[in-house]
Amino acid sequence: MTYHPANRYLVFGLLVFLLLLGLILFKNATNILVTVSKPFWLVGDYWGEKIYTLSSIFVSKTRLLLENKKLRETVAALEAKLVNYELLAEDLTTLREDYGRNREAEQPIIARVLSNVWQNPYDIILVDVGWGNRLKDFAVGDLVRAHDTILLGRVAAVDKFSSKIQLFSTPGTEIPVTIGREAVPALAVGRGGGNFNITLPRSLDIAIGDPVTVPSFGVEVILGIVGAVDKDSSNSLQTLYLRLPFNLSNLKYVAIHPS
Amino acid sequence: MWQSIPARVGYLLFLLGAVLFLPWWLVALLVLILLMVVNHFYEVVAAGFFFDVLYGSPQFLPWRFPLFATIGLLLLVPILEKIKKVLIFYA
Repeated sequence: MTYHPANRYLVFGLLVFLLLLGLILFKNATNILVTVSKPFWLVGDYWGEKIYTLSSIFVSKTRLLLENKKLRETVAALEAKLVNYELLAEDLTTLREDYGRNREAEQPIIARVLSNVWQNPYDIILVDVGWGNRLKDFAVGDLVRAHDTILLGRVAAVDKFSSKIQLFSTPGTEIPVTIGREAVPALAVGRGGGNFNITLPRSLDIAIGDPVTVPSFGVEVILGIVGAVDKDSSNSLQTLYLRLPFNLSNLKYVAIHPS
Repeated sequence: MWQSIPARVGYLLFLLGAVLFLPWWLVALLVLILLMVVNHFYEVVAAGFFFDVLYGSPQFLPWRFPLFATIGLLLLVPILEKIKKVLIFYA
């Protein structure tokens, strides 16, 4: 059945009317749609994990054993590193306190990720904390981090039961950073999806895996690690490709740090 | 069958579900396919509005306009209808 032209125009007119209504009620529309969508996201998340677990039935035992062995080795190596890390972190906290620089002024607000960055082209993460269900005040512009030390972005909008987080990796966003132990200053440019580009003179020695930190927010936080270095002998510059040290698609919780 | 009202409602519900669960580029591809298959699929604008309200951020969107997908689809539907008239489909 095709639409009669008159009906077609009616449908079109109705949509325009709804659009105008939506423009007027835009703030409330977000609250309503997020409230309606939230159960679907949570159920989808639950079933996604179930399906992933079920899919492991079809993985061969040999492959699982090999993977298990490899993971055990990685865990052992990381545990050894962690001992050093904890000692160093304690030293650093003591030093900062001695010099009057406390690491954190306030405890962060933990928020669950409802919709991740791959679901929209705007580098937005939707979380389940808003002005209606917050434990403490936070506002647009507050910093958002993941896994304690990794800087993600800023709060872009606060609705009743949800908030939008704009990632620093939004295309075109520039952020001053320092690279590696020698703290080479540079400007990271967002490329979307948690990725950044940095252009530096070719003579600077940057290695893959070097941490990239952001010193300008009072506390030292990591923006990412150097994932690849593009050096061309005919070019006086080199391009660094940064990536996050974890998979952004698997992100479940973020921490909002009220300023 | 493709153009019946229940089918059209089904496409719209499917698109709304896709906005919630699928990557945005896959949603965009589905929208284009449905716009080619379904005549005068103006209902897709509602899916665009749903997308804008959920994910739109005035701090980033082109020209800081919060309803980019809605208006984009509202313009795209009649343009695609014009293009479809000059295309020949062999089934």
